[in-house]
Amino acid sequence: MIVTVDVQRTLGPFHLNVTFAAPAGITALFGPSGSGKTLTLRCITGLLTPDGGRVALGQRVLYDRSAGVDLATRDRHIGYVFQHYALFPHLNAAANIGYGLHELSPADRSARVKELLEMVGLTGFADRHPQQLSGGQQQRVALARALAPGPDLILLDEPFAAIDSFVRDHLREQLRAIHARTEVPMILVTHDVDDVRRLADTVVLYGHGTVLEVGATSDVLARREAQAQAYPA
Amino acid sequence: MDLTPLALSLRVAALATALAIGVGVPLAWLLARKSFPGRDVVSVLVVLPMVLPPTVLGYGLLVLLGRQGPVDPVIRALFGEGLVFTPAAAVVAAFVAATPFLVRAAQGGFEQLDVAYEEAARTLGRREFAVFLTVTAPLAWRGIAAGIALCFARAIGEFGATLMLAGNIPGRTQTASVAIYDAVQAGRIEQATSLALALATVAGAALLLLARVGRGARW
Repeated sequence: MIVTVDVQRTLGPFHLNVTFAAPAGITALFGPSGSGKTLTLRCITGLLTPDGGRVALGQRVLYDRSAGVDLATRDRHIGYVFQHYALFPHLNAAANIGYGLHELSPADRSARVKELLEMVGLTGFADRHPQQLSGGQQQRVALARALAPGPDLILLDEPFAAIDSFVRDHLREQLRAIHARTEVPMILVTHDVDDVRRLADTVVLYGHGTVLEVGATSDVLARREAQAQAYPA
Repeated sequence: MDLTPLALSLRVAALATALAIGVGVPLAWLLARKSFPGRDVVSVLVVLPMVLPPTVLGYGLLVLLGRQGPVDPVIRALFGEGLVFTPAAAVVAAFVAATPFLVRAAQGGFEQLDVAYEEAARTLGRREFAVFLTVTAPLAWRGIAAGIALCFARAIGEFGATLMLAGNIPGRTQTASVAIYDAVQAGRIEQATSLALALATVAGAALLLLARVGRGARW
């Protein structure tokens, strides 16, 4: 499924004006802090209404200013892993993961939660509250929670920023494995080139509120390296 | 000792607090989370009863809801009698005087809550009301509970506005605080003392409960 994004949004002195298409697979929005990456995720999921443009998931239009379409966040079927995870502190891991499964019967819900806990390698942690989990474990609960309702797309905002560097690689591998297993397209925001190199099939290179370049990860990174060699800082 | 005034005070304060929860919690949420035209005016109107003398409050309510007031015909059409000098008037007076305390505390609770929790709930397909019940309210519980306790304590001690709107009819509208005033005026010191102690005990218990709720929170 191709995610097409074309949004404009002014926020104070900042102007966001980005257009890109993300094919199936993992796409990284890569660029410096303050370049509008998180803002883009918020527009895709409908937590922020753009000033104009269009957002579509395959044939499904989520937002189209000129057609007057603006689906509520709850109807977009997009999982969102927040930068600091935003796990509900009053609920344990199982209840966090099951939160979006409110339409299932209790039996089906607990079966699905169990399956997700196993997928993210946290069997046995169902009863822990978020504050009793490490950063990496919290991140995986947040991912499981986002995956639970079977979304059409997963957005991850700096998923490894709060993770110790020595577990980061392991978690990146796990994310790739989960992606391979679920085949849900993912868009992740990062300012770490290692995330891009190890995870992303496609890169959207962000400048100040604009897209500088879109392409396959190897191409974009090779071009950047060539540029860096031709014009050393 | 005649406990009728104290019993009435408890009933009035309980009803006023229940009304305050119904009106005040949504209002606090709106003020904490939404921007809308007239928000500042609403904010001032909410706090105003806290800073006005209760006599001004009572007089204002009398003008608004009294026999010549603009709302009187509506009240009569609905309930068949006027509001002034009824037990319901005591509830209204306590409600108006005490709700601001609930709104302010609950609003503080909502404002302290990271909006990311509510946003996460929305991305998981929940409707606004479900988000409020399952995420916002449990996480802002301390602010809401503090508001409820303060509101009840203020309501049970309401005097000025109650006297003006509900009057001083023993057995009907004479709440504990009004009965104390009445007893002191008539030189019934013993009755005044026992009612005053009872009232202080009840209000103190509400505040003690508040302190326990604050400590007993799990996060």
